Amino acid sequence: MPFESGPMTEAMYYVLLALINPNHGYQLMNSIKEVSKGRVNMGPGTLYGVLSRMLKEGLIIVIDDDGRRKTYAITPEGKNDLLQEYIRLMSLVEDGENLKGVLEDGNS
Amino acid sequence: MGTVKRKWEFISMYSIGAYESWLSDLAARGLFLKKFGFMSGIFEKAEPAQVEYRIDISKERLSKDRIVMYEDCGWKYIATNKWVHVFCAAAGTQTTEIHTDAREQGFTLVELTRMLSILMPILAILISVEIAGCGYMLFMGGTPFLNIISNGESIMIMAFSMLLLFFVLLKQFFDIRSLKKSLFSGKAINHHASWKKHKYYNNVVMLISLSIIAVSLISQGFLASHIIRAVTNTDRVTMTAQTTLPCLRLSDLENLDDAVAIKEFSVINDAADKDGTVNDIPGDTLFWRSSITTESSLMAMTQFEARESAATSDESYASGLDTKYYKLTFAGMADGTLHDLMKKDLNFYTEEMMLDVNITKMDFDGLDIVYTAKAHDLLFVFASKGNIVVSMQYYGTKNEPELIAALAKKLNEN
Repeated sequence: MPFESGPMTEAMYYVLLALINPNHGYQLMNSIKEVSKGRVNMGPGTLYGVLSRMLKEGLIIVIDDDGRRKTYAITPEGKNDLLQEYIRLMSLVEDGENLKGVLEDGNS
Repeated sequence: MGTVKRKWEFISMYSIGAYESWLSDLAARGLFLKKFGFMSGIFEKAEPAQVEYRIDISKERLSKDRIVMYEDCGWKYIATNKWVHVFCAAAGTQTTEIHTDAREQGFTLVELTRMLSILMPILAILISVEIAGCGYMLFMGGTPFLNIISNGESIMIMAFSMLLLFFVLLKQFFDIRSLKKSLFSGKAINHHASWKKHKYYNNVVMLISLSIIAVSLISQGFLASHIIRAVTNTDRVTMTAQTTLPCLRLSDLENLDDAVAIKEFSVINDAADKDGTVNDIPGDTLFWRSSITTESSLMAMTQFEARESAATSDESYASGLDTKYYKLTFAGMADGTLHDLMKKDLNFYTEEMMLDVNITKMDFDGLDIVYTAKAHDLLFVFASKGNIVVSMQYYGTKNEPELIAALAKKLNEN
């Protein structure tokens, strides 16, 4: 993984996920909210920090800049990392399959 | 536009939560931040309002698209100072917080802490060198008391300013580091944190800084005027027979009634022919030369060094008296100062001329401590009475007991 600090943060994951369709800042925030079904309401500071880091790491690029707004898109490396993270998360969920029974017992 | 008011800041902008909360409280009192610097902020007066402030840290300059992105969420950009950017929003108008993920916000402090981690050890080394320099100045020549008397203020001011600066920066560094840790552990910044304890801390720092400045001003300005008052009826470099000194004069010991006061003994040589005979000046003419240097410091408000000598042109008679006089602020320094004076004044004879100089301690009525020594035809007296310390080098017609008695009498007159 290109990022130095261990597993991808939730913010990074959702930004990459939302950037499957190129977007600019404010729309990107709405798109993240949409893709997370309203669960992640990302602030502009958090979003800007994530975008800056991922630009440096080559996971995203700027494809348009009209002076006021920049439009970002995911790079092949970004897509690859997103997929790797998805696989990692899936295996985490699969490993926790046996919790289903516990949850069901707890709910009943 | 309302009245602009400058306010000295009490809260460090790097104590993010407390600084944000302080700005909100000021807005509630009708003061709105316009600009801010290291120690002060400029505020505009307007109707009090509930305003939320947020601080964002980044090394990069704020780009246009970033400001637009924040504005789209209701956060208006106000000002930047170095790495610190301030935004505000009227309470309830913002659609979201600027930072919604504590861990991501922690990344904004990584660069700053990295830079400070490099800077702090360098600063520590520089300050240690500075402090070592102060220590050297203090113990230079093995005469710490005399060094304190002559350079005490500058040593103190230098050492204290450096230590204070280091302490303030170190605290800021640890504050930022612990904030970064706390953010990485997922704990969000409390935007309404109490700023009272920060204010108290900063007040103490401010008070110490002002004290250092005050001491510095006193030692520079007040002492300069004190020097003029220290020795009355005297210009600063020459003495006349009328000059009043709170200490022995050569004329108290020798008969200089008919002496001709001159600036330099070279006058006699200038008047002499090549064969050494003096034109128009009788051989037994007595010339008397004197000079005084005054100093003043916090540890000894009145200090002077008087040098007097008298001689006839045919060198059949010569006498001299060099006096160092200190009126110490603290009488407790008298003994140490005496020892330092002995070391300094006798050093030439003991170290450079390799003479065996015996120092004798004496008891004498009217003086607290008396030491005497002899080297060649020079008689040394080091004495103290209360907070007054005197060192004398004398050659002339008087003997040791007469010299000490005259000194005791003079000091007890004053």
